[in-house]
Amino acid sequence: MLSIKIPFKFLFIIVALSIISNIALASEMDGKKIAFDRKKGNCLACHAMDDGDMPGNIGPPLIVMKTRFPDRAILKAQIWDATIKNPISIMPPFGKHHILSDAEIEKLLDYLYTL
Amino acid sequence: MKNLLNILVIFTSLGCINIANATPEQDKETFQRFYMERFPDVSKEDFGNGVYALDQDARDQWESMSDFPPYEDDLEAGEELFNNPFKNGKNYANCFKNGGENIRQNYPKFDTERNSVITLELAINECRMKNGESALPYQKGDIAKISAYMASTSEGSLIEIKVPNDNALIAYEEGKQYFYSKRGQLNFSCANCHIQNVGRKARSETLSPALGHPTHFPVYRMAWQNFGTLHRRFASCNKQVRAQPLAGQSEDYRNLEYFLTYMSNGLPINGPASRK
Amino acid sequence: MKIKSLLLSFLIFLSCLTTTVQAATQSQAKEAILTAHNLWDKTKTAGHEWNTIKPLMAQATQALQENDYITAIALAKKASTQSKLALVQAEREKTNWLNNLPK
Repeated sequence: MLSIKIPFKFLFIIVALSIISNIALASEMDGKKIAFDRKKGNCLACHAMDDGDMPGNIGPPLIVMKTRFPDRAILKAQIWDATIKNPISIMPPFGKHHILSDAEIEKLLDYLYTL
Repeated sequence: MKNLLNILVIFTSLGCINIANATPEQDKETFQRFYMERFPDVSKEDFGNGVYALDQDARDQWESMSDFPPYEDDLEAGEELFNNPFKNGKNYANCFKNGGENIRQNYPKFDTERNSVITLELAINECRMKNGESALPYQKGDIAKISAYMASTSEGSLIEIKVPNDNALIAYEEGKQYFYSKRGQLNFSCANCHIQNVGRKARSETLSPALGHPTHFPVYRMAWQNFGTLHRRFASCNKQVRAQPLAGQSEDYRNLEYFLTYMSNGLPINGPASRK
Repeated sequence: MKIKSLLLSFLIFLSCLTTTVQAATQSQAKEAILTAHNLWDKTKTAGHEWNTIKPLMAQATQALQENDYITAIALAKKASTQSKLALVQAEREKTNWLNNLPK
């Protein structure tokens, strides 16, 4: 009986908020999946990160990303095509070579910024 | 005077460009020096042991396995195949110098009449065909066993690859360009892993030095559970970077083997070998 | 009632969408596959074929045989894109390989 009296607006905000936070959380979780999947990012092949098991050491550990890459566009450019900065970089050009889609890279970025 | 100066400038700049067109011998010096400076504690001939020259833990495991090499049966089978006469009564020994013994270190060879790189496996099959036998499939199976036996008779002999003329130099240069070119969707060159990141780890796998790669083939990989030729390994690497592998003994692979083996001139043959 | 009519119109809209998409014809699919095939051949000649292209071509051809022209065109386009990228790589490596030499 009481619940009926809860204003609709309030309920709406609660639901909307929970949906938004779920989307954000899902995006981070998707991002981690993309990062760890051998057929997707396979980041662990070269980078230590998060709770990843037996990472490689070809690239630097992926930590404090917000401090190291305050500009999201710069980090995205590095993932998109690392050979722009260094023509012989071993890092695969994930965006340029369609290894990951733009949406996947965005999710990956969301996740990387939690590290 | 001004003209003379111009000519001088042109010639000096040409000289600079020529650094890229170093002779095979200069390439080899730079190549070997790179590894010896990167790993000053590793002896030159130890590079023929690949990752085990760089990773002591892996070496300990590998050496304990080497008391009973996993390839022993296949190597014995290779010796039998080598000595078995063809239907016409001849055998492999008739096709090769020194009866096919202790010659691994001279392959691949550049055949100046055919203008083509001849690898040991190619020569084995050509010997068969000359004697009315069918060609064996490349990469694995009997051809790898025969090649393994032949390599074993060369143990300790130093690799001595030659570039006899300009056509040979073209084949060498093509192999060199293949080695340094990025390919596949993942955009890797051989050099990306085996020069620039040699000794580092991709997941738990140490990246092996390209110096010494050709000394120990055919290789018995635990992942394969049998012998594979160098070209089989090239194909595996190609797949790992999402490039379409080429057929065994294709011209590109033979030229790559030619360049790569030249880079290991002076290292002792230590094949066949086992790898993870 | 309102919801029902809304749903109905949505379904009608969807069915319209599929009919327009189905307008993708067999000849369009064949053409897309042919274009993709030519580009694929070029990557082989250039010595820079990716191993991701072959399966896309096989799937596209399979879809064409099953009269699924939309899928066939989509896969052929994907293969064409990858072949073009492989050709860009081949062109770039004509000079870039020199940067890889040990110093």
